[in-house]
Amino acid sequence: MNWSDKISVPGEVMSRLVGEETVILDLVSGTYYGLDPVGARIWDLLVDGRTLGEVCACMLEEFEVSREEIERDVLALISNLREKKLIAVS
Amino acid sequence: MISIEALKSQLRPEAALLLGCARLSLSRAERDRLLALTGQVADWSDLLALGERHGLLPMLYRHFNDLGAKVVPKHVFMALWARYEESGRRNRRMARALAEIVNALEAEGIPALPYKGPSLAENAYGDLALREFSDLDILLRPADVRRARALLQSRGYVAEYDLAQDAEDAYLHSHLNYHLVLLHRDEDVMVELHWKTDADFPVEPSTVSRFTSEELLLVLLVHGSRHRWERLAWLVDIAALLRKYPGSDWDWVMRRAGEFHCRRRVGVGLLLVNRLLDVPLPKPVLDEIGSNRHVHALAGRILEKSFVRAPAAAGALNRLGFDLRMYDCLRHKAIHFFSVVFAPNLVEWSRWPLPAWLHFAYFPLRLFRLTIKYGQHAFHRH
Repeated sequence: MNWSDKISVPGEVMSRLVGEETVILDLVSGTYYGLDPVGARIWDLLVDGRTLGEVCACMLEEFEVSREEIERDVLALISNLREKKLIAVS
Repeated sequence: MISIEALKSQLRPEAALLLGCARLSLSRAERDRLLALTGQVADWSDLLALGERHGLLPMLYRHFNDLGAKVVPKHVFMALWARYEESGRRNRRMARALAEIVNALEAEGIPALPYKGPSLAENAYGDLALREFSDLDILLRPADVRRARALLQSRGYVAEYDLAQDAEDAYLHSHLNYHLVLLHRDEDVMVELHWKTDADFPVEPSTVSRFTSEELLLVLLVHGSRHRWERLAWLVDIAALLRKYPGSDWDWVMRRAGEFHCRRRVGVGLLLVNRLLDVPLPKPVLDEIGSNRHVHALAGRILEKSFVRAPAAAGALNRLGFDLRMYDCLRHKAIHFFSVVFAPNLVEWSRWPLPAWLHFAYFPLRLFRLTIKYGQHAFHRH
């Protein structure tokens, strides 16, 4: 995985706001996942077509955290989403 | 006899909420009432089970989504959202299959009229995801049925029942039969090729290019009554159609219902739509159906059965008795009784292929099969 990679979302996976929470629904398994506010912002940037590097840069501007922490969060979320087949990285 | 209004007032909150959602749009008062009812629901799984049974899960999603997802527990909302999305995908796939079939038929010079299913969902609901359906209904000229069947078979569809040539001849020519079922197992699509819309109520469209809204209304009313209005979605279809075409020619509808001796069946559907879904009807129509005690009794029975928590499968004799009460006159009751008890259907035709000179034997065979089938059920119950 490179910082210039982008993600794509399979057609069977959808997301939306439910109340104040971003929820991802996998129609294949019928399961859904809620994201915390940081995860939701990363998700929005990813599905907006940003590279992983661009996502980290945006997050650094918006949140008062270190680059290492942001990179760790982004990679952890992507790994989690990939494992559940909610995204593909290209 | 308990009135429909009294039965409605006794509904548990889950059933009242489902009924409140069984409409395409909500007035402010209806929204407020739904919000109040969501606060009274004790068993959300009961609501989901009722929604499933009545084909209304996508409709529940639409209204809860409009009211704000937080009015229902998160797991309920997510289940409804998933169902709505799946319904939309499945229905779009079915609509594409239907368009391909109709185009292929027309390319062969076979006029085809799709009705119910995707055409109804698009036309009357305006949202393909909102109306769940399991098959594609296509009306053909009787003379075109074999060619249409062959064309579908060349596209990978297989007949639900495999009939020998002379059995198929007899089946197609019996006035009691009105459709053939074909399945595409890979695509998971079921098609019903109709040469009449119903066995004892042959509404033929004026041309095979379209139904008038009044013809479609009668088709849907008779179809719902044939299934004892076991799904509220069929009533919502009627409501959606009447909303889309407000200027219906009611004189024609009621006269035609009388000519086909199905005033009672038509009346039950209209009374339910009026009393349960608050669809306004012209006074003369309301006066006519409202003064018919049979219509009231039948509608009340349907309402009672609609919201039973765990419906027991009605016995065959009970179903037959109820169906007979839906018919206006003795002659049609007798025809229905004969068609259910004696007239062979596809099971007999396909299971016991007989030469044409022995076809009369299907009548006792049918009676024999039903006696064994329901005799065994009765035996196991005891």
